[in-house]
Amino acid sequence: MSVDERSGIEAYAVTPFTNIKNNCATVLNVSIDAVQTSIQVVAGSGAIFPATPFYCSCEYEVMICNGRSVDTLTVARGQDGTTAAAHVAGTIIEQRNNAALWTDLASSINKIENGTTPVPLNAPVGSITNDRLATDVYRPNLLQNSGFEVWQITSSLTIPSSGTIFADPWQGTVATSNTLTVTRDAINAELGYCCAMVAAAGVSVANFVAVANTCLNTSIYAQLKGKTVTISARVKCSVASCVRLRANDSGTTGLQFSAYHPGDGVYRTLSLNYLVSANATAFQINVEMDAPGTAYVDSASVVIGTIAADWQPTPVPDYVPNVRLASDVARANLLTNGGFEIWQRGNGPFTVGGYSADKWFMGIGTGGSMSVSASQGNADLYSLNALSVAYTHGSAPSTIQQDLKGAELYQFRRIVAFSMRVKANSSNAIRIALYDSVNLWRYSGYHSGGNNYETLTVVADISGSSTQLSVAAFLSANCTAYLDNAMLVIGSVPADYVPIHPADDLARCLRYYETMGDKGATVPTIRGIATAGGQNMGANLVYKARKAVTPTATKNGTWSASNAGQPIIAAVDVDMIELYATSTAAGPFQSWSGGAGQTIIIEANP
Amino acid sequence: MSIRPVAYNEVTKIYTMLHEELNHQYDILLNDITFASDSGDFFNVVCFICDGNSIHPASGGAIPPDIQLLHSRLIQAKDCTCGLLPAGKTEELCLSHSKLHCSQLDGIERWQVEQNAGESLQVSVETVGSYVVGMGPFTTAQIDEGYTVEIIGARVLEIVLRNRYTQLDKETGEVKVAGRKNAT
Repeated sequence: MSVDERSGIEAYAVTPFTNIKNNCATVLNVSIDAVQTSIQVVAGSGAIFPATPFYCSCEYEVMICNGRSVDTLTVARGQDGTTAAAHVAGTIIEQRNNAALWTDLASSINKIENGTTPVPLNAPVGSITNDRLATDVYRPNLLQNSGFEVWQITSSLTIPSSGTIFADPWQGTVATSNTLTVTRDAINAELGYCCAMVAAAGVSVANFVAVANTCLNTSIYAQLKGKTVTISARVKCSVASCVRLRANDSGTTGLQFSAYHPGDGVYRTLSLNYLVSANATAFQINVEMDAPGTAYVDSASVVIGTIAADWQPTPVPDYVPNVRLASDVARANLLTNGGFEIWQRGNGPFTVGGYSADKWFMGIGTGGSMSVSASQGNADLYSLNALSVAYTHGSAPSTIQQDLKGAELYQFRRIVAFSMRVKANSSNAIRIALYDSVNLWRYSGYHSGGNNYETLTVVADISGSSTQLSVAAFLSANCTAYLDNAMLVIGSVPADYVPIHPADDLARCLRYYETMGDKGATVPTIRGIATAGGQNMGANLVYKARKAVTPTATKNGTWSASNAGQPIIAAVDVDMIELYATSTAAGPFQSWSGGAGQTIIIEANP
Repeated sequence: MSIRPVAYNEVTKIYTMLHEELNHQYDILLNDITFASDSGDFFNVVCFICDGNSIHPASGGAIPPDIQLLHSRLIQAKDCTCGLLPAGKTEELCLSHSKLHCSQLDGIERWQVEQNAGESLQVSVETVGSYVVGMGPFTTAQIDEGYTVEIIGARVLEIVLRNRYTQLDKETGEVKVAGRKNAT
């Protein structure tokens, strides 16, 4: 048995039965002996025999004829258990019901019965083509969330304007003066936990509403050009001519529809075949409502080929690599104060180059100026504070940046993605960038200048020999801008901002900056009893968080003192400082932080 | 928010300082900046306007590399209180000495002064006394009269970083921990 190379299907053996024909008899024209294999029959009678091979019999001998030329037969003698013999001219030679006809048939049947010969059940030799598949043959469904099981955005939505996503990536489209309400429905679902309940009001064929799956709109449709796909969905509706499927590739094939649901209130499969045009520029699948009513939609499917496929649950992959993550998959933010929520140095305005919102550094380019403040009124969604910057450009760009250097950088020298929410009132004025000391700056696109928040992103492979990694908002033209919700994540897919607990957010900031005193209480305090003037009393003041490097310690203001001088910082390390005060005379003495501006600031910057 | 340098005049040797917390700005002679410890690791910058003061580490603290550079200028102007380097040495030797302090405080990768940055497996050594007074790199072998540049291994580097006073045997390349040295 051979195998077809393309289809993999076995080419089945065919038993070589001899041919038979009714009323097939004539006589020998010439006598033959017992060994002759060429036989002459009466002139003009050779044509009564069937095509070769066939059995023929003469007296008690059975022969098999393998060739015939007009009235001359070429035969094998003494077949089917008989003995070859001489026959005289005029003897009848004919087809009889000889034993071999039956034994050949019985043998073939027995081979099928005992499995020697496989039975080809309805299968042709060669490939099984798509158009011969049954609907229960599994094929990959090209739609995302085809079962309406995932509703990350909202579980119910009335859509007053087009393009609002309700069940990723399904979104509604409405025309003027009608509404579309889409709700997650667990009661009417046919398969799985949920279906979509779609209610339309004020609609008509000319003024329809639609629920579109947008996942094929992007790059996927390009792979379907020239292919026929079958679009199907399970739909339930009690209104006739109300709901149907709609597809459009914005190309030659254009707008196509399925038949309407009959409105009998039971789930029906709506489907249509669609040839995606070679000049397609998009491909959108819709459930279209052309009359007021409610429809339940479940188990949508788009498969390649002309036969619909029964809906199957999405296979769960055994792992999801980083490149397949969506931006809304929460990941760890490597930045400090990425949300610009913490302003330990004050809310500004900061106009001199240096640090502003904790670890965010203002790098002012030559000739430029900027004023940086905390802004609550212009913060991004879910955010309390944004960084506001009023920028005047000079001869070189300016930055608001955060640096990682030295030992802190080691773990991040790999592919990273940086994103930031930016609002700006001028186009081509601000973009974000990633820096490493080997590849230098790499940039995102510019903010459009539309004065709305936009997500800017940049991805870069940080060199393994880099000594510095910086992320920055890069300012290169006059503008007022707001920065919020910055994320730096490992991997090539930028991530939406994920807030961290305020305690953790502050703890990161405290690694680089903290203030002691100035909180209304009389601490820190150095207190002792001296037997004379000039005696010291000291204390070790431990930081709230170990510093990244040996910090600068700054004592601010004139502290309150009784029988003592001002406190002196005697020693500094990454964990604490030593502070001491000196007595003026014998007796109790103390020096303490007792008012506004009487602080010690610990600062350790990269 | 510290008292930090914002400008320096090489000719007059005057620093312009900014007390960020209170936005006080004033000028101070380099010579009026004082060491805050006898280790030579810290120096003290006092605000002339309010008596606030910042203790800066040689490694940079709030504002590397400006503070690192200030430290090297300071030890060029006056004896380093660690006793290893007297005033008046070359800029290159003073930078190497500041880098030694910086690295002993916060590791060799903390040094951010761009000039002379690079190879770290070099030290500057007294010709007489053999004290290690600075960390490379250097562009010339003779960085100042009385000092040479020596190449060391990673094990020796580790000892130099962990101990404030070490002496290098130039013949064997071995280093030994020594007692405090007073500048001469």
